[in-house]
Amino acid sequence: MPRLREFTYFLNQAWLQLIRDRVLAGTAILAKVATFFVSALFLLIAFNFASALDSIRDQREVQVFLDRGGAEDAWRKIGGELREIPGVADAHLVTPDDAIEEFERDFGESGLVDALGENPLPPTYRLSLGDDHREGDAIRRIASRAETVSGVESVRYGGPGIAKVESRVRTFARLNLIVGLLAGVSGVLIVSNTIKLTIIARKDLVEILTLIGATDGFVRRPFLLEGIMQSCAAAAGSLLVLRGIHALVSIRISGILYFSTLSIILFLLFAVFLGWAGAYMACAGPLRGRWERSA
Amino acid sequence: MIQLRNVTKRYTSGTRLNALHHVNLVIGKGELVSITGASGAGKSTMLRLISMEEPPSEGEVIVGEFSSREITRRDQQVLRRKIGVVFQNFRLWRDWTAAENVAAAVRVTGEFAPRALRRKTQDALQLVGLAHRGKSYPSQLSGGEQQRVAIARAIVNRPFVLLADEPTGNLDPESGESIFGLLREVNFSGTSVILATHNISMVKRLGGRALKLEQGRCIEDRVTHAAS
Repeated sequence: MPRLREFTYFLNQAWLQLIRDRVLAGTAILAKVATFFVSALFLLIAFNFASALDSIRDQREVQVFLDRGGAEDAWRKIGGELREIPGVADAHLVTPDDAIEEFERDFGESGLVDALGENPLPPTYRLSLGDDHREGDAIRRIASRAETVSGVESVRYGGPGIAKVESRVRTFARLNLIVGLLAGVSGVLIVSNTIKLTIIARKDLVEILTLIGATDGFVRRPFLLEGIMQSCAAAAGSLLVLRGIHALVSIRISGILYFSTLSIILFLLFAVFLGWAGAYMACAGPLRGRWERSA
Repeated sequence: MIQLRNVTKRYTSGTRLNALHHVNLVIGKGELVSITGASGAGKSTMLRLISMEEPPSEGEVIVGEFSSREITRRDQQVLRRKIGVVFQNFRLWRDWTAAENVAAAVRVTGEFAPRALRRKTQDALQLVGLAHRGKSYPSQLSGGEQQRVAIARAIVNRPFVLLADEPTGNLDPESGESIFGLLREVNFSGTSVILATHNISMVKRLGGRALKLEQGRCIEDRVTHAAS
């Protein structure tokens, strides 16, 4: 209860400070909205890229085309060998008859075999891959092993294109991390400088409190809470702006994801940390008293 | 209770200036001490050294159980909660009411319970005759009233010593006289009062121990009797 009273008092002081210096606080919050917006935007783009990549990975399979000449027994034997390749979860046989049927269904054609005089499609195995084997290198390894199986004519897995996409997404994720870090650092600096200005405006109060024996924590707490409040307001503002933009873009491009509730909570916690860190930095200098300066 | 042992305080800004020069002084419990002297004689410096706001350049200052040689930052904070300080320019926070300014001194001791806060604050304001002005902001109070609020803040935690640096410097003679009267009352209640002032006639009427500083040296230390 005493702790709660103390906390309520400091929270109230921080709120009153924020209200009294609303122009300064408002300007700082706007600047921080811009910083957090950049950070959140990059995160969201990376999040969407990662999600798209995951869905591509989920759909990835290796197609193994067999020699046309063999009989179904031989195909089944090849299937057994393919299933033994590490990373292959299953091997599904698509016979030439199944394949032509699928083709005709997909393209709305019929009577192709009659027109051509024979079924041109080879027997094929579709290999579904284990969770840990959907990356570029793993797929390449599986494809190479499959090519060595006797009776296999060729293997296709869309490898180079997807590997390129993966590599670009990875580069983008690294870039995103750097931009996120820069935005974080600038967020701390903005909070720190704003709180410094607030402390300068309240220099007398800091001196009075110091002279009547307030501990550093007592003097610092309202400023820390003010920094946290500013940061949270800015983070919430930036998420709202981003939500609006997301809604507008989603009208034209479907399937773009927004942050989950957990991500939003983590983002707000990150803002709390930045607000605290910035305000703490700002308080360090002004709390040095005459004693420390003249000692 | 308070000792200055061969204390020198030197400021260096371009030239070296000895604000206090080898001062030795012992102030006992419950004493009323007036320090007079011209501007720059070292009166305020002496008070700042006693409140451990600044360290001496040489010598040692002892206040209660604290010595300037060993005092830590935390000790300074503890000491300041045990002494009261009053300034010429009142140093009240403009955004707080009189009661809130006084309550701040209680809060720094860790007391946040509303009832205790209200009682202590009201008692202190009552002592300085301003119980009815608790809700007024400093800008709504006269200079004399603001100084009374500052005294209430200084005595609310029942300090063992009250340091007053030119407390009547910004006041008209009538308000100044009432502030001196108030300081005498505080002293009667058992709190030592150390007062730095230019107002020699008031010091004569106040009585107690009178120190005179000149260019950082203590040139006079005598006991006077209050003029009626």
